[in-house]
Amino acid sequence: MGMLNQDSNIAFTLTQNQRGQIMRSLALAISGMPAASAILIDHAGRIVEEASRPTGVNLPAISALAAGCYATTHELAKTVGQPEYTLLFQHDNGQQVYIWPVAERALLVALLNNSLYVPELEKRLAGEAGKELLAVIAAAQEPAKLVPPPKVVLAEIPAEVRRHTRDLATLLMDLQNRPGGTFTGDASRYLLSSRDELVRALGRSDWKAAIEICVGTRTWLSHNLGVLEGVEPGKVVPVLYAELLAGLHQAVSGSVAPDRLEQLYRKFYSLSARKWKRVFISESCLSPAGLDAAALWKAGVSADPAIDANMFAGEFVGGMDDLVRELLRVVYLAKGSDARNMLVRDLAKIVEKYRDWLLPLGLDGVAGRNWMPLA
Amino acid sequence: MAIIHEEAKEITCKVVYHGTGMCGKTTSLMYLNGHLPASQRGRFISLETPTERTLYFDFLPVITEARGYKFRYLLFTTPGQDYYEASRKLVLKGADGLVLVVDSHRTRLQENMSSFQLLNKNLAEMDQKPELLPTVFQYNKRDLADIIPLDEAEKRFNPRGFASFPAIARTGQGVYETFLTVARKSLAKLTAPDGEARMGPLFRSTVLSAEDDASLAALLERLNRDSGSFGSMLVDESSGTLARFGEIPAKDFESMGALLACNFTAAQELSFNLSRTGFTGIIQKGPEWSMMATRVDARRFLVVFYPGGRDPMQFRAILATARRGLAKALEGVDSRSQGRLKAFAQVFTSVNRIAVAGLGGQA
Repeated sequence: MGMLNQDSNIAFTLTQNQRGQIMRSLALAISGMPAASAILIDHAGRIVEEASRPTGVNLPAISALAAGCYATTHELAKTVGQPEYTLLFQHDNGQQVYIWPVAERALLVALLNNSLYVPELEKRLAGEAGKELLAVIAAAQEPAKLVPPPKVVLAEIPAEVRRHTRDLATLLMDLQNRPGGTFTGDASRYLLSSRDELVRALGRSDWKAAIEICVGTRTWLSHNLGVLEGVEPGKVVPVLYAELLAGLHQAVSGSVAPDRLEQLYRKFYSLSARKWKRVFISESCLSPAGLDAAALWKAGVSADPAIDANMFAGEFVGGMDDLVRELLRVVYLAKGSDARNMLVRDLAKIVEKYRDWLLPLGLDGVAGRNWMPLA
Repeated sequence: MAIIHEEAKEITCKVVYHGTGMCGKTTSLMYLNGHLPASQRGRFISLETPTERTLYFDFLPVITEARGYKFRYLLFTTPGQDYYEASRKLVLKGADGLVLVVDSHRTRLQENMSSFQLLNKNLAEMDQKPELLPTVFQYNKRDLADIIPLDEAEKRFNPRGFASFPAIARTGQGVYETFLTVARKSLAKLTAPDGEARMGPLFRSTVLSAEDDASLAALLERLNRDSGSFGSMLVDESSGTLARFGEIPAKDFESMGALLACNFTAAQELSFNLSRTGFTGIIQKGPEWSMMATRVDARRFLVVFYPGGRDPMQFRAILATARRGLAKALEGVDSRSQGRLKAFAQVFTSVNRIAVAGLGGQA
């Protein structure tokens, strides 16, 4: 047995040899027809193989539409008592789309630029090209797994997506190493379905969806299996605020002169320090580049060895949010409410990224609640 | 867009169930299919992938009669998976009412949001303002652990304050109520002052008088005779059959209309994606029956049934003449529909509640 087809989700698997046969048949079906293309898709609209891929078209959309169109045709055939239909679309410019069912498992979509080619194509499909295609598809195996690995090169996956998938994988490995009983039936079902969705998202290069699935799954685990118990506040809270302050600093430094900005930081620092004495403990964490949240956290916990890290995290969030609010006020005065609101939305996205870790600390919904968008 | 045959007293409305993948749209339709009396439902059609996900749409016609009027609600679901976005938009075309199914599980929050954002985008692309479409929210899977509270769901998904119901589609809780409400609202939209005038062009209703029915049938009869075809149908893209004449190889016209409409719109969209040029028609070749569908105007198309093996190019000129005649007749129908709908509204208001009551709602 040769190599399996690596495409995602097709309803059957093919050996390398079978793929070669399919390619030959597709090429034979349209040979001598200039600018013609032939695509083989499964009944769910997933691309199996293609010969002379058409340029400048959204192939996944076309495949999904062709599958949908054929599914209705198949139903129509049943309604009117016909065994099967072939489909032909005609265009003003002479272009023809011909859809031919292959062994009740796949569809051949042929794109021709002249109606005169249609009878020739039909002849070839009734002959050697069609027979070979039918034989190969009929002999193809059912997929070994519901969702085979996606056809995506690792190097093409953006770093952010890789980070999310790695985090999720690490978490799952941790779970597997736990003493028995962690994976309930529900959890297994949820994880399988989540995995399938993730594979599909990666397969179609939908990075946004892939990140959402990773984050959603981790959140689900934190809610349902308590896997995030034992999160260390020192590894979450200062990192979150370092990221928030970096974003804010970039926004304010664009509209306030550097010396004025440093003055403002010092002013806000001293104002905040009156209320949050244990948080704003070391002015040395201030520099023209802004406030170093990680250093400030470190200074706070070092000052009191008996400090409860969870309790301190709550205070740290309160103090930092006050500072964030003041810096947002600077943005508002310099650039107006729209700019402030836009920035708040960006900052909220950062907070959202940390939600899984804020959750077990009891800080989900607490961080960021002091600086909502203005009406 | 509703299709109203004045003389036959038939009203057809399209209701679309929309939501993210696996949120319970198909399950809702399956529940209705399993619990409505056989006399009040047509054939349930599910076009699904080998992994049982909706590929294009599910379809269930619900039929009721009241005060001599026959009401058909054509219920569709859209495919939830992202991969099928192109097909999803087609199902939305010409909807009279929307059921937005929300998966209440907290982890699906973002997917629900994205799905509704896409819906708004799809409607905007069809020049339809989402807020003008009668809409009902069905907050599904309320039996799961870790679901978002209803007030939070309302705040997040339903800022316009449309009617909403908590539901468990698996057991049927809330499914019937949701459907009755959207059915009622779809009818109420027709009677609302300027309710139709503000709709997008693909979402406006068609009212056919007895004369319209007769003139369309006469045109189809002539086409059949001149072309040697068995029969022909005039179908709206939103799935309703406007007229038919001759021998049509099916008894179940609701399903036939829905399948033809979705088939045609998918073919058209596919063609546009490929060639960016005009779409002439679609030919479906079978051994005994073949059919050809071709566009008549922006919303309607003509389907001709002819003997298998015959080349439709032979009656191309006849078909072109028929298309022109039908387009002209429909232009007249469209210009009169608005006025007729107003007159019809007086009758309709009294029928409205009763029609829904026929399905088990309150009179």
